[in-house]
Amino acid sequence: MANGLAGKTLRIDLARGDIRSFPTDEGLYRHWHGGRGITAKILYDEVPRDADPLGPENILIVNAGIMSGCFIPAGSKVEFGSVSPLTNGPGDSNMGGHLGPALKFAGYDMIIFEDLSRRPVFLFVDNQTVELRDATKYWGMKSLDCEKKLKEDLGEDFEIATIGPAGENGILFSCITHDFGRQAGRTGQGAVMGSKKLKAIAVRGNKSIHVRNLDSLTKQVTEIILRTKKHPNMVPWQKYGTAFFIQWSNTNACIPAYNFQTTFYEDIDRIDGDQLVEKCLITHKACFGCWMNCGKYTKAVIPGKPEVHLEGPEYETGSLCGSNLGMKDINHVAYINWLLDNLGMDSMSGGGVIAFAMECFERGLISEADLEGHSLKWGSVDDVEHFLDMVAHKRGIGEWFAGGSKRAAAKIGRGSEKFAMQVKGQEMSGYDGRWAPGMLLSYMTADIGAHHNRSWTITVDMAEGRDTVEGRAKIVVYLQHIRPLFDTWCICRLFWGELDITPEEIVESLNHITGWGVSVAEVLRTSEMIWNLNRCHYIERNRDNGRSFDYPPARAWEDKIPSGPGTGKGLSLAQIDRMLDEYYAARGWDEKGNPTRELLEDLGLGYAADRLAKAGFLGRSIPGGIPPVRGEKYKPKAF
Amino acid sequence: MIIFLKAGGELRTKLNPDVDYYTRRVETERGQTLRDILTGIGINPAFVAFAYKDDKVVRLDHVPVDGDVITLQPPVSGG
Amino acid sequence: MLSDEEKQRYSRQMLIPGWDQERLKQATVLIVGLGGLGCASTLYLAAAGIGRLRLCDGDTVGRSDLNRQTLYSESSIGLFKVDEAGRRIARLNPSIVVEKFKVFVDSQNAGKLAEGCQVIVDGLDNLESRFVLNKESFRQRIPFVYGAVHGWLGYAGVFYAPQTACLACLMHPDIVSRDRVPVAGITPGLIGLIQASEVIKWILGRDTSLLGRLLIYDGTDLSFEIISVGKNPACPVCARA
Repeated sequence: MANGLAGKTLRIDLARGDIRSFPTDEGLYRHWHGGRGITAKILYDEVPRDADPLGPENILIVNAGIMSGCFIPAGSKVEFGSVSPLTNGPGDSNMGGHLGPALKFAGYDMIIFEDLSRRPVFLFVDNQTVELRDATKYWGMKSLDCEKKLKEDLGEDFEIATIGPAGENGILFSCITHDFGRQAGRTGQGAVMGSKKLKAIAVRGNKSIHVRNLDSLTKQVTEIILRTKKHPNMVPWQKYGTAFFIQWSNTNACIPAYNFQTTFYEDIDRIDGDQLVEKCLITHKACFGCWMNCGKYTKAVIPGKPEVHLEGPEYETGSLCGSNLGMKDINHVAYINWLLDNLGMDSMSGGGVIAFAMECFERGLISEADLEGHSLKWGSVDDVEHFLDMVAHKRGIGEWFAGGSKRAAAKIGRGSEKFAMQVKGQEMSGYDGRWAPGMLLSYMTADIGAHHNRSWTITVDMAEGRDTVEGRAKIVVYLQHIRPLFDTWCICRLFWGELDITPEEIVESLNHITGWGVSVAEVLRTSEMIWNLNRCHYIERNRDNGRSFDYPPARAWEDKIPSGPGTGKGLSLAQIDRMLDEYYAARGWDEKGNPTRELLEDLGLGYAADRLAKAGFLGRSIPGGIPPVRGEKYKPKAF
Repeated sequence: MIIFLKAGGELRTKLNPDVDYYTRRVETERGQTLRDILTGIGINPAFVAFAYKDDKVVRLDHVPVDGDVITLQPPVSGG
Repeated sequence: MLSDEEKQRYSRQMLIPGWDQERLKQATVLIVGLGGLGCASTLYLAAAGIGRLRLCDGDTVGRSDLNRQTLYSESSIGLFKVDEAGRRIARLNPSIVVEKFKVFVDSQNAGKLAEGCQVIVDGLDNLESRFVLNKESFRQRIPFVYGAVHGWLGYAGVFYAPQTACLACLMHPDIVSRDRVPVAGITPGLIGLIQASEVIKWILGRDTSLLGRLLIYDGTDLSFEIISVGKNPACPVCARA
């Protein structure tokens, strides 16, 4: 059995009910490293370019990666991948908790779901017993309730991932939920799962995973454990999780407020990390193999409503469903978090969609008549609850918003496209990029739309100059190579990235596990390969030059920040264009944002060049050739 | 370094086992491929359909390490 | 839909949990080569109720075949194997549809032969034709249930590239093979039945034990080894880009 791998891959034809196990393709892992690398490759190879993401030709991949479950710190992640119905491109989303390790302990590195089931089913995996079981009695249940019921029915020691009504109803930003509060949130993986009538995955496993050099790994990990326990960042992380960013983000004028209208929120003290800990916290919560326990299991207590329990809100939900919606009570933010989790919607896109709808309401573009007699005012948790119910069940104009803010704006028109805060159809993370040019560029160029996990540059922008765009592109390229590696290896970036563990140390762990003997330069190249394969796939699917998809909504350059420390700040369209030009040059792409043959062949992706050429979008050769190395090494300051 | 080669079917005769019925002990230089080693002991690699080590197929350009036990299997084409 | 006679015929295997006789009835299986391997697999696939068997062999029965090719008898000598096999199956299980192709498989006809089949079963007696079938298996994405024998030695495996290795990942076409191969009759019998077992499991949608693996059987010491066959990244047939 290969080191770090469980040894088997499952392919499940949901239409026929066929369950087949294959030996895991070790060569594929060696080349693509697992997780997001393998999802990229398999989606590229197997999903036809005109396949409907919610149709039978799309596949849903669950990949536990090569480092997950190997008793290294935070080896907890699992990666979901499919062609995203939200962005219409290769999509992936990872999730912490315990599912990835459980899958490997059961003996499986990956599950690939094909076609559509005719009736609701869930996948039952108990070591070598793998069955598709009837899920009729669970269909319609909310995510958190369903997980609880499945644990009651199967056993507490099963790790469960479920979708909620949103996924069942094809809401395009639906998520997959696990461990009562961890989500594979982005890119609508829950909608794909729902289209396949796959309600849940339940896994129990008790095998071990072989690693190449256990003694060396143990020695290295022991040193890392002892060192990180004393790291000054450990205390705030353990106390607040990412919620401690709320105040920081506001102070530094990058928190979204009122649908990204401004970047400073006067009522921040009512929804920050201290409020979360003081008013909502029940207990801290950790993923497999992690003692940072950034998870916060909390309660939301609102008079007139039942007390609810949830994990969160962490920074993204806290900002996007907090300041971004004008909420003035942490309990309200937590309640909205719970609503989204239980319905099975991505709380990031959810917050973005609600905020967009609120601004539409404020501007009179939608009315109470459209909202079944309800309003949708800033700060109203009741309004949000009703609105989300409309969206989750596609009632009335809820159906417009079920496709995300971009599609809703296309329906509403009247200039609303300007403030649908998304790129490529996916809503922005909880950082405003108008005074953080690198962050804006990161949103514009991320392969899955406006998501920060590929590249997060707020401290880079602060260090290098928030009012300048020059030189930012090469750093973004580097970060877009190094950060997604965590999703490739299925380990948590927070633990490894925020506690001053170096890339060399992480690669050392990888080598102790696998015996590959790779270097940091090599793994960065693998990541670059994945990035470019996804770019080619996206362009082929969407049949236009890459540049046409890389612009933010017009608010990004038309509306200067109106209040707070960032007052008057903002980029011009010319600056945005300049950033893109610099970015494409740094990437070895042409001015239209299309990868060139020279670059693709350098990465061993000549076949992708052939396909792109056939589609008519192969990048023109760059005079002077491509940069020999793409991306400039940069270590953003940790907190 | 020392490696151990085993063989199945008719290859066993060509191998000249000396450890037991199946196995031959071979002293060889580090860094040599399996193909080189076979040629060195008088076995034409074209008579080896495939080889395996630890229940996994290895190619003839595999470089064994000290102590490896590698099994050689002959071509089998009948039906 | 199964008739009452079919339900009676298959009643013992239908007692096995997870058995779906209707799926076997709807299946089409190609068996190329009706020698020792093909006779064994064909007989048991027909007995199990595979609805349509596509038999391919251009050869006639010879007396030297009779130590192992158990579909035939003394009276079969000189007759085409596909005809004799078809007759024998009809007597065993008249509900099976038999398609007969009196040809030797080659790169020209392999595509048509395999079209519409769920599984390709190897009953061949030479490597060259096996590589033709292997290539077609990859091209049409049909699993290839490989089998081969020599004396007391037998191999069996299921190749389903690109998800698994293919035959060309395992063996190079340039390896030496013989024309007249010594064969103890039991060996192709055993390997052919293992092939049939894997076919049935595949059609039932269950795990096939030899998917991406190779069984090595040595009748001299009754040893069974199963090894895993990794994909060759430089395979001329199935290498993923």
